[in-house]
Parts: sequence; structure tokens; C-alpha cells
Amino acid sequence: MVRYLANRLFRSAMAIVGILIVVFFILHLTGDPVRLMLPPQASEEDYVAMKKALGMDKPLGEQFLHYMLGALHGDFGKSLRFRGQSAMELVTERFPATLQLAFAALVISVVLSVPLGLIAAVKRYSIWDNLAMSIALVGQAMPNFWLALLLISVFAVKLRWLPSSGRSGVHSLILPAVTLALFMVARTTRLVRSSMLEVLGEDYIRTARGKGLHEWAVNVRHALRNAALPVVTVIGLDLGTLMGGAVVTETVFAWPGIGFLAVGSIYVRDFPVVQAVVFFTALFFVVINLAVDLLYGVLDPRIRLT
Amino acid sequence: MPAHEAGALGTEMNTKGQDRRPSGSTPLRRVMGSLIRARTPLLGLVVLLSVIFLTVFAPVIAPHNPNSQELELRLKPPFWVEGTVTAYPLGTDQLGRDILSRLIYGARISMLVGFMTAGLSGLVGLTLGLLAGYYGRLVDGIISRIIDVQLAFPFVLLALSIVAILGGGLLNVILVLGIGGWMSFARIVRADAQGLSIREFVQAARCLGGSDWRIITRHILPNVLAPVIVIGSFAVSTNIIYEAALTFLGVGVSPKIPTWGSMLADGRDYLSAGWWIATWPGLAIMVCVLGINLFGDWLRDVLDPRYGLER
Repeated sequence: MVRYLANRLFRSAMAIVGILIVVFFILHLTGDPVRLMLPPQASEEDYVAMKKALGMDKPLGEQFLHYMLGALHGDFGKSLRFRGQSAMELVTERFPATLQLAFAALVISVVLSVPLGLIAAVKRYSIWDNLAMSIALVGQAMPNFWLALLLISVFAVKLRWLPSSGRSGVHSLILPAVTLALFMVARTTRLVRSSMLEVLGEDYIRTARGKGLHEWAVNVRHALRNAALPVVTVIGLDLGTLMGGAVVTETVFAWPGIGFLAVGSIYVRDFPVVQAVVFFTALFFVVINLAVDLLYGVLDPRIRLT
Repeated sequence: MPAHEAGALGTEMNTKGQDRRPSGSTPLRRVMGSLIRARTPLLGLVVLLSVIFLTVFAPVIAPHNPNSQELELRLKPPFWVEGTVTAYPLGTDQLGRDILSRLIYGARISMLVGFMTAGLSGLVGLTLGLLAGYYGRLVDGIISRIIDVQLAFPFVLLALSIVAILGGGLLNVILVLGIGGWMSFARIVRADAQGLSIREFVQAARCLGGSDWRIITRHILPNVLAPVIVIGSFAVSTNIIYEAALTFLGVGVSPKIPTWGSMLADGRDYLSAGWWIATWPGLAIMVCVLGINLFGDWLRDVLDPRYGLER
């Protein structure tokens, strides 16, 4: 167990170092990041001044060392758009909004997909199964930015029930959360169904039925509880994915989270902020991944980490 | 989302109509028979072939030039809505361009990006997966760590940043999406190659003096191609959505080229006055992706031994 834990921690640390390296070199893809950040009409003096201010007049190796030392302290430099403010500070300020949206989407997804998957598995090949799987297939094929536009069109423009953008109370959370949840609903419904089908064929389910238990108790207390493990794992990992996946949804709904911040920063070439967002989301994903991996063994007594 | 997960769990639904009984017919006839009997994958194939047909014959089929503007005919609704113009059955956009023609030409970009990126990802993933699986140890360790790192990145955000840095355009979008999606291929190929490299026929080839190159290309590669094709089918549909997302956000393909993503972006500002502008391209993406996924689900059942017809 200790060896596994050490190995897993080492792999996560390696991933974080790898992420930092990639984030640094992304900016150097064109060779000259300073030209990239300046508007086309900027003068040569502006160029030289900015190069010096950002420390990019130094050799690449020195820049990298300076960047790594700063990044390990969460310092990705200052934002060019929000003058003087630390890039990482901007990210952590907006993180609660993204987390709120991701959690809301997760809740909607679980509330819809678990019953749908359960019914689809229990009533296999029935009209309910076909209906649930059709919803899942369509949900997976539907681009979420199109769904966002459809929802805005109906609920904000036509019916005027909900706001089309911004973050002002629970009302404004509904449309972006539903948009973000749909893809997860599709995936989790299919996962719940297939996990349930696997479990429903087990001997202990036959025993439970043989004892004369009510079908509801068999399906929920015995089958669903055992089918839940892979589902819980995937849902946990989805939380990490949602952080990055919220980029488009946040942009369409002008939701003031880190995705919206990133896109806005890309538009005005505020790359220190873009680097901070990319690093922060990747780090979040690694941490969640590690936590889920470790929890897996704790949740399921059959799986003991070796 | 990793491409291989796109349809990974819908096996039963799409295979329930398939005949799993061994028969005396040839494998090809059995496969074709299963495709026809299963109906939903056949529908997916029809959709896919129709879109490919549109992309090839777009100049002949499209009723108008997709970029020609008729400002006096701007925001004309589709054929069933009052005020429509017969020559523009799906309506016109804010610049008076024919939506039907733009949809047909837009399919070209989607298909091109979908297939090219899937091919590129497949090639990179297959190569690295084979090397990691066959050589193991240090090579495997390095490639696996690269996979770990790349999987940790939020794909849309990373693609968005790289395209913004390199500049938009079709080629850069294809490169970024293609190189960004190789991990699903590499993971599956690595696992399969690892298993295959200790099998008797590989050991026999090694004992007979076969070089690593020969063993990999002649003995391992043919055995890992099936899952690659399956993942590739889902990568096509996933990348069609990613391209549309990048273009929708304004960093993808040039706005001068008609694409489904740019049409959606145009429609965003006209949700009230021209709801159809965003509706048609969204529907086109959905139907196209659904078709590919349905066909991909069936393809996996047929090609992947883990879901094979004889299971």
C-alpha cells in the first residue's frame, strides 16, 4: 500500500512537472512570445521594454529556471489586461464560479442519469431502455455550444424565464449547468446501464431474489450499490474534466469562471493568465485523479492496493 | 473526452439485433448481414456516406455560391415560415447568404478535419503505443508519462491556446487536433502490444532471427489495427465537434470559409431575428456525429475481439 501510494504520488509529481514544462513551451511555439503579446502597431521601443519587463531578454535556459521557480510558488507573472494583478490571483478569484457551475452540472447529471441508467438496465430492450439509450446517443452527439444557443433562444429570448448570461443568483446558474450536464448525462446513463447489467447477472442477485426480496430492493439495495463503484469513479474524474470542459459553456453564457477568463485572455493575448489557467486546471485534474485512484481501494474492499 | 469513450458503453443496444450464431457463410457476408440486420448502424453508415457524397459533389449540389451575399434577401426564414424565398429553402443569414449552400460546403471542412485529425492521431498513437508496448521498460515509462501529462490538460483550453499562439487556419486546426488526440490510440495499442509481445508466435519470430522492425510491423501491427480503426471512428466525430467549437470561439478555421462552427457563431447574434441561422448547422453537426457514432459502435462490435460477433 505504501509502495503504491509512493508510486502514485511520484507519477502525479512527474505529471505536474511535465505540465509546467508544456505550459512554458506553449508560449515559445512561435519563437518570440513578446511579439505575440504586443499589438501589431506596437513600436520597437515597446517591444524592447516589454521584453525586459517580462525577463525575456535573458537566455531561454535562464527564463525557464526563473519560470519554474516562480511557478512552483504559483507565480505566473502579472496579467497584461488587468494591470498589476497576479495571473494566478485572477484564476483563484474566478475558480469558485467554475466550481459552482461544475458541481451544479454534476448534481443534475447524477439526478438524471442514475434513474435513467437503472431503468434502462432493469427493463432491458423495453421502450424505456430504447428511450434512455436514445437520449444518451443524442446527448453525446449534440455539441454543447449549440445546446446552449437553443436554451438561450427558448428560455431567455422567447419565454424570458431565465437570464441568458452572467452570474446573478440561482436563476443564472440553471441554463449553463444544464448545458454542461447534458454530455455527462449521456455518458453516465450508458455507464450506469452497463454496470447494472453486469451486476444483475451475479449470483448474489439471484440469491437476493431467491430470498423473496422485493424487486425494488434487489435492484437498488443490492445491484445499484455494487454497480455504483465505477460510476462514482467516473463521476469523480468528470469533475476534473468539467473544469476544462466548461470553457465553451462559460463563454456562451458569459459565466465569470476560469474558462471565460481564459478565452477573454486569449482574445487580448494576455498569455500569463492563459498559462495560469491551463496549469491550474491541469493540476486540479491530476489531484482529482490521484484522489479517485486512492479512494477506489478504500471504497471497494475487494480491491486492495498492492 | 477521450475518443474511445465516446461510444464505449452502448454495446447491447446496438448489437441486440445482430446475429451472433456461427454460420457457414464467409466472414464478409456475416459482417454485412449483421450490418443490415442491426439497422441503427446501417442508418449511421447511410448518414456518413450521404455527408461524404455532399462533400465530394458540393459544387454541383449547392444551389448557390456559399459566399455570395444578397443583402436585400438577408434573414429570410426557412421554407415553412411566412416570408420565405423559394430559392433559399433553409433561409438566408445576416448577409443574405444561402444557408443550405453553406451547410453543404461546411460539411467539406468537417469531414476533412474529422478524418485528417483522426488519421494523424491514429498514426502518432499507433507508433508510440507500439514502441511502448513492444520495448517496455524505459521507453514505456517515458511514453506513459507523456500520456499522463497530456491527458491532464483540458483539451479545448490547450487547443484554444495553441491555435491562438500559432494562428488560426485549417492546417493549424488539423495539426493541433491531430497531435492532441493520440493518447487514446496509444493507450489501447500499448496494452495490446504488451500482451502480444509475449505470445508464442512473436517469440517464435524472435527465435528465427526476426528484427524488431519486422516483428512489430509484420506480427504485432496487424493484430492491433482493429481497435485503432474503432477508436478512429469515434475520433472523427469528436474532432468534428472540437473543430466546430474552436471556430465557434473565433480561433479556428478562417471566417471566410463556410464551416458549421462559423455558421453557429454567426447565428449567436441573431437568436431572436434569425433563429434558423444557428439551428441548421447545429443540427447538421448532431446528425453527422450521431451517424458516425452509431456506425462506430457497430464497427467496434465487429472488429474488436473484446466485443466480437462470436462473443
